[in-house]
Amino acid sequence: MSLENLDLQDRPVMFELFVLGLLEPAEMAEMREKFEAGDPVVVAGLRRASLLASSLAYIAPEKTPSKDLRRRLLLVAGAKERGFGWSWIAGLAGLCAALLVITFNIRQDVSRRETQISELRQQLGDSQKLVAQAKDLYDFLRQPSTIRVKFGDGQTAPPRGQVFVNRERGVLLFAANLPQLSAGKVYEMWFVPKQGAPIPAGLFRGENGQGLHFRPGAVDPSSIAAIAVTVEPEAGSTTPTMPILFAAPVQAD
Amino acid sequence: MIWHIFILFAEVLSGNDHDLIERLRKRDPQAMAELYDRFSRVVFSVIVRVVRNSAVAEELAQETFMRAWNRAADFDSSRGKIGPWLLTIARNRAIDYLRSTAGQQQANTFELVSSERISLFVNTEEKMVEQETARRIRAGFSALSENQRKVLELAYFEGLTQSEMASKLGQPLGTVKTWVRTALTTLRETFDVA
Repeated sequence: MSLENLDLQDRPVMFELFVLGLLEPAEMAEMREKFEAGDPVVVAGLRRASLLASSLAYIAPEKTPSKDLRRRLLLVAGAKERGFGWSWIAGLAGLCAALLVITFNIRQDVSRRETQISELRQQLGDSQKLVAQAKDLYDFLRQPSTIRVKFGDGQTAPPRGQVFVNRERGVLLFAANLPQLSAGKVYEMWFVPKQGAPIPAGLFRGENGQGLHFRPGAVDPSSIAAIAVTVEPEAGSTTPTMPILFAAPVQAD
Repeated sequence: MIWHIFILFAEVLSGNDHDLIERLRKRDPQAMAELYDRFSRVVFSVIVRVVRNSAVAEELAQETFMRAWNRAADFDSSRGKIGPWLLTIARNRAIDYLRSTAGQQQANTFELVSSERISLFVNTEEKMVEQETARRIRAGFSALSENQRKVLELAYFEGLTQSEMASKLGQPLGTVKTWVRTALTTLRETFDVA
């Protein structure tokens, strides 16, 4: 073989055969001689061929060396070992501390939320009671058999208000302009029968001169002459204490 | 287009050979770590393919990197391409081991040490990053016929001469030579054009 005698297009394969060790001994020797002599054509050709030949490494099935190989090499090269020593303990401790803080915060938050939920449940219960009461009162008021009695109209010093009497459900009282209660006193409602002594019908407290009281249970309007309210001690009384704040006459049909 | 952007991105991420070689020349241990992280898998893969023994392959891979580490001072950082050089060392160490265990000496091959000469890996216009090189050579290799692939593997991974291949495959020498030349031409064309 003589490179000079080869077509230009045939030269690259000669260089490739050379770097892969596939030329015949005589061709190999000739090429080596030219290379050692620094023949620019041969040197350039072998460079190109070396790149192609070395790239054949990439057709090998991929394998991964052990991590120990890296460690050994870097030790020889004088590099500090990555992730070795005490630093990982400090890192782990930091991580644990962070987890503890996070856990503590979460527990506190959960506790706070539980308290809030409990309060909300309480509020919801109270609201449900109020709704039930309101519904009950609404039912009471809209029943045809409920008797409405006004009182105090035209008085210069009211109290005034309305009383609703229902045979099956009981008596509901709305009052306004009630006198302010002194300490230890409450309002007491009375059924004043047509015959006999007044019957206690429950205690209530007003607010800003207004009072609302419901006395549940069956009642016979025809036996009641009036509904009255007095101021009594907190425990209530068995007989009314004078004066009577107001008395609303009941006139059953 | 997207592939080229990826290549550019990979090149930026992996740094360039100039910087790496310069730091290897200054014996910066982190440069050794970077060299290892970039090439350990392909170096180990080619050695395992040749010697077919992981433990031996690790020893030879270690020798390969140490050889590069110790000879980096001779490398011209402004003109060199370190990957092909490293892979040539790796393949040569493996073939050398294969021959030494088989008690073979082949006089007609380009001396292994000579093929590692740094002068063969400088002044190159080659700009491909490893991923692109791997992609192109695999594409070219897969385009070859089975016989062409076989002879290239025997040459590269087993270090056989064409006569030895002909004997092993039970084919005429001329046929094997044709397969080899056609394979190299096809591979080169794919490698250059892809």
